[in-house]
Amino acid sequence: MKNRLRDLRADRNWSQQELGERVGVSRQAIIAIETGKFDPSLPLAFKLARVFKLTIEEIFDASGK
Amino acid sequence: MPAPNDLLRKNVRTFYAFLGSVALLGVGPIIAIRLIEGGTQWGRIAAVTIAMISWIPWIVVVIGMIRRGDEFALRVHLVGLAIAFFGLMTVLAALDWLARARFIATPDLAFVWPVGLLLWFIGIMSANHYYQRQS
Repeated sequence: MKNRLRDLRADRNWSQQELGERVGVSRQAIIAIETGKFDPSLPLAFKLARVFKLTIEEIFDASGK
Repeated sequence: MPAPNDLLRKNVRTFYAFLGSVALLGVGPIIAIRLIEGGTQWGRIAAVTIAMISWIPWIVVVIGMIRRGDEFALRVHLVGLAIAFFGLMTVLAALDWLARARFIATPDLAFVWPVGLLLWFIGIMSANHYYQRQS
């Protein structure tokens, strides 16, 4: 699933490690989500949306698989 | 999320538990082989029991380590275990048929665990590489 995670993270000057700590997953998990090869669970998608103060749809694009 | 000190303590505990379980895994078969060499019926029963029980701590520690991982770590382990399982089944089936067709002697099953662990390791590394690779 395509997503804007990398851009959103870059806008806030957060490292992958820092974002991972904010949502409670490893840096490797963030890398895998950013590559678009690993889709996060619904709870993790909500956490990501919360830390970026956006909706899930604004971060993830389900139509662009 | 646990505090860094708690996390460190937990990781250190897990590390020592892992080392302990590996030590038991090494000691168990040594005792078992000595008991088998003794040749008595009860000695052989004890050998099998001890050899099998020595795996339990290691299995418990490894399952605990996997369960503590985040959802990505669980996915990587799932792929790794699937590769190990189906890889091992393929190797066993191939050896079984080769033995049935009398191309080879019945193989020593001691290879099952090391090959399974090797396939698991390869599976984890491959899955991790796939998910982390930029493309």
